[in-house]
Amino acid sequence: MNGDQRFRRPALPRSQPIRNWSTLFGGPAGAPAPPGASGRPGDASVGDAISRSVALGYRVVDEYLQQGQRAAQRLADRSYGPANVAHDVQDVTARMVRYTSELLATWVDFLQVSGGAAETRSTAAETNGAPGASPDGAAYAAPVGQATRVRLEVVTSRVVTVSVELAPEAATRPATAHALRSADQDKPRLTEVSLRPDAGGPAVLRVCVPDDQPAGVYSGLVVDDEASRLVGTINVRIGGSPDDERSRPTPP
Amino acid sequence: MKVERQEGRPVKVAIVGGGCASMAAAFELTRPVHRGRYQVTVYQLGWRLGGKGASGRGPAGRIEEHGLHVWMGWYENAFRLVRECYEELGRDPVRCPIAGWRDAFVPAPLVGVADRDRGGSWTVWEQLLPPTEGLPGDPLPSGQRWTMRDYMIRTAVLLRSLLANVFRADPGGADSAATENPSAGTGGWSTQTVLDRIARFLRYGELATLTGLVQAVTVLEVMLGGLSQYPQNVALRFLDAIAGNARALIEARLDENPELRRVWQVLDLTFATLRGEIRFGVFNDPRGFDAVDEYDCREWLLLNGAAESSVSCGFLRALYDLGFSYEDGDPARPRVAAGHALRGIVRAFFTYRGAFFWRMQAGMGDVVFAPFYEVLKRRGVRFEFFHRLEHVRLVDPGRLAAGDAPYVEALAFDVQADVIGGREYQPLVDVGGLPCWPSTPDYRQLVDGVRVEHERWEFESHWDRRRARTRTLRVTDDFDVVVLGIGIGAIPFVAGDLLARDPRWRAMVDHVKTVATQAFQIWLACDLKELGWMSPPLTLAGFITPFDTWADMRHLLPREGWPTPPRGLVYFCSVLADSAASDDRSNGSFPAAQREEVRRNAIRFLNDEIVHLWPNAGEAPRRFRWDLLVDPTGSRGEDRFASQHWSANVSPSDRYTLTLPGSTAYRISPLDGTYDNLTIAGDWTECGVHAGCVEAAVMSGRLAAHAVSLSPPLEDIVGYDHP
Repeated sequence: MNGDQRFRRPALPRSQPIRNWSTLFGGPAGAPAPPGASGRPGDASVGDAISRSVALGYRVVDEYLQQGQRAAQRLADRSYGPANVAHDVQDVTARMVRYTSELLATWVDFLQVSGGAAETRSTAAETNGAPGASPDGAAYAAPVGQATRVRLEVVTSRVVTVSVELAPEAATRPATAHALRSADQDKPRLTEVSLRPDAGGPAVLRVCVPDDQPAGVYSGLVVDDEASRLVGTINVRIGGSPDDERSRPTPP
Repeated sequence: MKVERQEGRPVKVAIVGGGCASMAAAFELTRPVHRGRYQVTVYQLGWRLGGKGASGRGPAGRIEEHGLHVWMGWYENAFRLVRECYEELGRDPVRCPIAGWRDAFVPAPLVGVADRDRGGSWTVWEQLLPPTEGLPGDPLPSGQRWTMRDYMIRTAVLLRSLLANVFRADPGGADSAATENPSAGTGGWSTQTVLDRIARFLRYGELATLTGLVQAVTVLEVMLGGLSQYPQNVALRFLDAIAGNARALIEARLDENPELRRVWQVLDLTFATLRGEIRFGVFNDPRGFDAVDEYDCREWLLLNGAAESSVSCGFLRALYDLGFSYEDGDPARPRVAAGHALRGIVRAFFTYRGAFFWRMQAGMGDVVFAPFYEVLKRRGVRFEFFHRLEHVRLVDPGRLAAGDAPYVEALAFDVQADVIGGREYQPLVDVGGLPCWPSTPDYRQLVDGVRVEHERWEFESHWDRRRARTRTLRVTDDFDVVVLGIGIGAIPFVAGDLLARDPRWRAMVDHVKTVATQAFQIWLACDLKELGWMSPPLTLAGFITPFDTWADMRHLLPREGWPTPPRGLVYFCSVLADSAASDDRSNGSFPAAQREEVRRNAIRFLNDEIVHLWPNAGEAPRRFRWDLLVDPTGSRGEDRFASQHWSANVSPSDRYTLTLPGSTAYRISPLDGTYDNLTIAGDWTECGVHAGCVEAAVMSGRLAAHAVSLSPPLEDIVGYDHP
């Protein structure tokens, strides 16, 4: 048998499910897009979140307008007494509370999505050396809104995607990023991970990925040093080795 | 790694096994989008496809299953493929009674749980689960993802709804303010407002009324939606306060209103689940629900404050029963990984579409595997029946070039029978216009068929090793890539090379265990109402051993071919205790002995236990009315049972895959790239859902196809990326 004729399975972008909820909403970065999809995996979610925000906004405005029209109508026909006022205020308050809560939830989702997209863009740019990366290989990411801006330093020759979810206090209080581990217990941990506050700027998250680190998804926690409380999660997805990446086949 | 193959030559894929996972892999690899790039051959033991889902047609065209199969409304991948299959099949509804997928599957929204009341009598708790928007397999809304945040909020909504039910069931127990709109009572939703509201509930004792509880859970709902904003101990303390007050309020009323007991048990389990998700950090753990897979589900709920009576309730027993979650088939050893169980519960209750259950309108073989067989044949897939895999041979490591990954060099089969004239075996029979699988092979197509039938060769038995000849497939000549789609129980018998060389494979077969199952079906001369069972058809679990789960399957009778149709049809199933004798493959009498044990179990069960549910089924204490069974042979007494159908699913590939605590980390993914030309498929793999079910098998088959062809995209495998 001629070994060169033998079929080899293609290299895969990953071999495990993504279970971390904070990376789920925007869809897994780096994975092949479904047929017919365009742009980043998170695009649809960003669009959805915006659409829902706009729709909810219209509902709130509509509510004001309709209440105003009804009130004007009642005043005009002189049937609008104190009892009506109390009832309407209660009614409107209840509905406004409901809409506000929905708007807040949607806004949080939107921040997660847009943060995730930004983080994917900046990390990919950095690790590939594409235009937009700073000369020292660092990039800014804002995973969950401005309160948790963080500066990423990724030292690697590999294709790497970093996802970060941090509580606001993680950027200002002493916190420790624990070694990142794979669900596959045989894979060595990623130990060179650190998070340090940076006076006058966002905290700096530094991740070093050795060349011989097996491909896969590595996850770890960020813990508040003083309160021993979980304040964030870090996920690093490592693609194949440099050689593998150069020979990756084109999907059929 | 590199893809190296001769240009223009299709990739030859050998799929071993013909269950759900294998069919899904074959279906994906032969999609038109691949333009014939993958040339698939399916190698199948015996005469039919289906694996654990195989069924056959017996006397009078009756349907004979391995066990009880019900599809659930969250089986998105399975329904998607089945729907595509039926669409491609294009059956003529005039000629075929099951032409489209909606003919094949019908909503079954009623579920039942059997439970003992305080007096020791069995009662049945029926629950109609309302239809939901959409149908399983419909395209999901753009950007649809499931998150722990969503699940926790929905769990809190469930809590609120259960508490509202308590109020409705016991209106005297709460003040009139309970009718207030709870969302109006929470005021604004800022962090400070929520914390203020919690303080108020605790300070002024507002939790001491049902009204207060309902409103407090609404606040909890808001809190769970943004859990990272609040210190965990605040969330836990508030949850504990709500649970403690609910317990005090409701337990005091249980004696006055026994119906409340079941509601309270579910409430208690829900409180414990939320508490555990916060306490164990499941809500933001990168492993999702897997984070608590080291624990048994009951143990984990107890750890998180559930009452002993709640974890013993019918609802939880039903969860164990439906998943055959009894280690070694021992009813005294209920064990299931907590994370897997939680994931299953949230998927089942919060993500089902259309209906909670869907019932097949014929045998699973007829409804699922015959259509797949026909479509795949049209696409050019070859089916090699009567091929029993004996050995997966890996290349000698000494022959590997530096940097080369190991690969499968050969597949050795026993060919159980040859087809006359070297033709292709035609496996299907027509029953009332529907292509079906028979319960026995068509011996007329086989070389020496008369002798084989006379000598009663058991083609599907692990212990019957008779064969016509051997056949060895060699890499490159006969196959390029292997999809190993057999049950994990069979792996130790065929994959010795893998186990000898790869510690991960050894760990997997050591930890991912299986269990034997038993099942029987009875055809009745009367309907169940005459026996005192007044409920509409449902699937019921939580009943007594040895057959804890049963279903009224009368809807299948029109699909069978009786001259005078029976009036009732009921399926029963459960685990079957393991026997050390199963390890000895030379013990040819083992399967018959196991079948005999199932027969005795069934007779004892019908004599002693069924009267608890069918009060008119006994003619005397501990004596079933055997004349109720339809028996064309005219036997008398319990001998009439011999005319019914029963099975002992003890062959390694027929055994049900368990999800024991601490086992899920040992599963290997179909995406694992250790072997250059080997992937795996089955509900025993790391496929996102660690359940022994159709959906897990189909997801695994789709992952196996992705491992070979990079298609379907992982994002298209619904629920793979899931907490």
